[in-house]
Amino acid sequence: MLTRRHTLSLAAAGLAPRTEARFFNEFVLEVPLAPARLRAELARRGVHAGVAAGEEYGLGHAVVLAATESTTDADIAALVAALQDVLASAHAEAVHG
Amino acid sequence: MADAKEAATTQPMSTLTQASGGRADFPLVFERSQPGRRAAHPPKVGDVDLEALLGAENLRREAPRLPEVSELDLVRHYTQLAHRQMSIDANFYPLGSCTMKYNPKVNEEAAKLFQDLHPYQAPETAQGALELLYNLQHDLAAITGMDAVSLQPAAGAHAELAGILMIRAYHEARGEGEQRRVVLVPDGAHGTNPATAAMAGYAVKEVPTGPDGEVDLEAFRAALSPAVAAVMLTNPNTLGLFERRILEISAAAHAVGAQLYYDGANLNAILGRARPGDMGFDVVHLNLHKTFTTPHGGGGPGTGPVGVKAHLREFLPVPFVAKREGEAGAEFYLESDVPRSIGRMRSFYGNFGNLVRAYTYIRALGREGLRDVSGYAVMAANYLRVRFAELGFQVPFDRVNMHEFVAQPPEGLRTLDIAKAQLDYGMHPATVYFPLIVKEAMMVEPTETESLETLDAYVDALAEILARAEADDGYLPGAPYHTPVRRLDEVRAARQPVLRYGFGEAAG
Repeated sequence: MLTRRHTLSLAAAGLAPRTEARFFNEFVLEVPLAPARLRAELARRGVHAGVAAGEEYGLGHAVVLAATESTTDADIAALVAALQDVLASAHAEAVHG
Repeated sequence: MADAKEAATTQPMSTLTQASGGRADFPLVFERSQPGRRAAHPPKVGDVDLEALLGAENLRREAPRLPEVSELDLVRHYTQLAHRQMSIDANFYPLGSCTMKYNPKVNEEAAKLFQDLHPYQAPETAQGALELLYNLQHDLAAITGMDAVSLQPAAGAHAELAGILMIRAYHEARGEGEQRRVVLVPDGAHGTNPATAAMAGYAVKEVPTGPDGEVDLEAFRAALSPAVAAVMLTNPNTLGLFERRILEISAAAHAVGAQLYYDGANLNAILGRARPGDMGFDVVHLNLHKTFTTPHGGGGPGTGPVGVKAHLREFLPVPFVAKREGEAGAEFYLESDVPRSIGRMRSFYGNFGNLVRAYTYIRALGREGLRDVSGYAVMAANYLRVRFAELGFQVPFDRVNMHEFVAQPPEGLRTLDIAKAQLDYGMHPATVYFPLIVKEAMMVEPTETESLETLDAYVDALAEILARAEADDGYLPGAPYHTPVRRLDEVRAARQPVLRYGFGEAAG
């Protein structure tokens, strides 16, 4: 289960679920770059994650993240590290043009 | 001869009865339950504050009522249940029009290669899977003589609907949507054909079968008019006979602007030898779970690709797999930008695992192997037709048939009784009472995967059943004798099914 414990890990990367509401197996995460780009960048780092929720639900830059009982803490840590890396690159790009 | 019923009970037990002793009262797994018994002891979860994580209102107060059994009891329970069924892996299965052939195990190995893929994975990270789908689209188009194929539909009937919706879209695009309101279907057609046409909003008009067992060409010509949207046919037809006038039929249909739909249920008969596209069909569906050895029926899910000629390509369901030149060479992608498409037929890209299995089968056999399939299938069916006639069965259209044939029991005997009696021999019955145009029909399709010994054992079993029936009037109406359950009240089973376990409490 990608539980609140895991969303706390995501918070460390400066990301938060879109709502405070309790969720089951998946939740919506707002991200500061286009979901398609985020997916491609994450895939390059070995993580396949994030279904674009923006188009279908009118949420802008938002992705759906999910995990199952087979997702380990190490998997979550790898996702967080990859997200941090992608966001740092995107930020650097925005600052330095 | 000794009492036939007694003789029946001294038969060697079939695989059906070995595991269960023929008991009708096989217990539910709940009835095997003993408090505290466990099949597995997973490690205890560490200190987790579930209330904080999930909310107190979401926590269970009582344990769920699950069966408590040991692992061995569990394994035996389901293994024995499995042995109470008929299956291709255990039994001869000559179920006409269903092409119940062996499903090679290598297909399963191939399907496993893709088990870690996720359907939402980005296409650029799943190029191998897309290439397989692309190649399969191409192979199925080549096998059927069509120009484009969608792998989406989840079954034959689903593919029929996709095909007829494409034909409807085609007529509408030409401004003939209002004018064309009728679909012609032969009286021997699979029941899905008229059902499909009705679902797509068409009136269905039946075309009679002639005395030779083929579509009555004169009646067909008379039924044609500019109001006809489509003609749905299978070739060979449900009597197992090749429609020899198919080119005249397709020319006549096209002359009034109608589209020709090929029901691919019987493709096994012509695989590698004749192509619906060459016969003039505009739309074709395939049952991968019949012709291309993917699991069938309860072992499904089904898979029903639909192929079209070039003039219908723009109406195909989306997405389909296409190929383009990318920065790093050829790349495969999911094409969704098709403005006139009839839309999606199902989620994702079809039953992907079965598409892998079918592709594996095609690659394993190759062109010559696929041709052999139809050759052996037709030979096996003709062998049985001749042996059936020798036993005293009637064959209403007694000529060389294709992959299946239709027979009738000797005078005075009922098809249903003979079907039930076969169960005692560990053989699945033929299709019964279909097609509707033959009284007491038995529709027999042995497929190419059965050996001569198996076919002979089938004939021997039927011979013995007929002999017992002759010796004892009570034998056939009482059959089957060895199956876990015997004659079922099929109406009550359908209308008053018991779907909940009551834990010994009052039902409610």
